[in-house]
Amino acid sequence: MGRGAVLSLERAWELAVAWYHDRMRSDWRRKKRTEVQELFARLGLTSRFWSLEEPE
Amino acid sequence: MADRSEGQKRIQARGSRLSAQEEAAELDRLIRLYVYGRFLEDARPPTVEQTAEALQATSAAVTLAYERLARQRVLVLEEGGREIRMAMPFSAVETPFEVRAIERKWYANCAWDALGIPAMLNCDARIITRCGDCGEPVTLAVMDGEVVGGKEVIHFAVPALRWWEDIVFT
Repeated sequence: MGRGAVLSLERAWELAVAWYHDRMRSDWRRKKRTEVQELFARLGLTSRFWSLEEPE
Repeated sequence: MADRSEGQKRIQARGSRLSAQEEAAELDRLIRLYVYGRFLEDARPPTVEQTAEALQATSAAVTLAYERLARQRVLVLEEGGREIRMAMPFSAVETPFEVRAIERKWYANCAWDALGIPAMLNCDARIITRCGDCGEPVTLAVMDGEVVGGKEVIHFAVPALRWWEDIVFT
C-alpha cells in the first residue's frame, strides 16, 4: 500500500475517460461512492488500494 | 383549526426551504458550467467578481456557491481564500502537467487529470510532463480517442479512500 498503485497508460486513459467524459455536461453530478467503486471494478481496479471502504 | 393552521405553516415553511435549496442547486449548476467554460477558454478560473458579474449574482451569493461546490468536492478553493484552485481536471496554478489541445494550453492537477482534459473535451491533445522517477521530459499524445506513448506508467501514491484528505497533495 505504501508504494501506491501503478497503471499502464492505456488503463489510466480508460479511467480518465470513465471519470471525466461527462464532467462538462449540464446534468453532470458527482458519482456516489458505490458508483465509483463499480467504475473501478469495471476497469479491473479491485485491489485494496482502490477500495472506498474503511479497513476493519 | 389551530392545529391545521400550525400544520399548514410548517408545510409552507418546509416548502420555502425546499425552494431555497432548489434555487441554490440551480445557481451551483450554472456556476459550475460557467467556471468550466471560462477554464476551457481562458485556462484559468473566473474570480468571484467575474462570476458574479456574468451571472448577475452578488459576490456573497457566488462565494457561498463556491463554498458549497467545494464541500461537494466539485471545486477546490485556494487555502484560506475564496477563489478557485482546481476545477478538476483543470488547475488554476502552473503544474508539471501541461496539456495542449485545440490551440490552447492548460495545466492539470496530476498525470491522471492531464489525461482527464482530453477525455473531458473528447479531443486530441499533447501532454508535456516529466518522468516522476528520473525527471526526464515526457510527451504523451491522445489521438482519435486513444493514448499514444511508450511504456510509460502512471503512479497513484494515495489510496482512493484517502484522495480527499489532502487533495492538493493527492
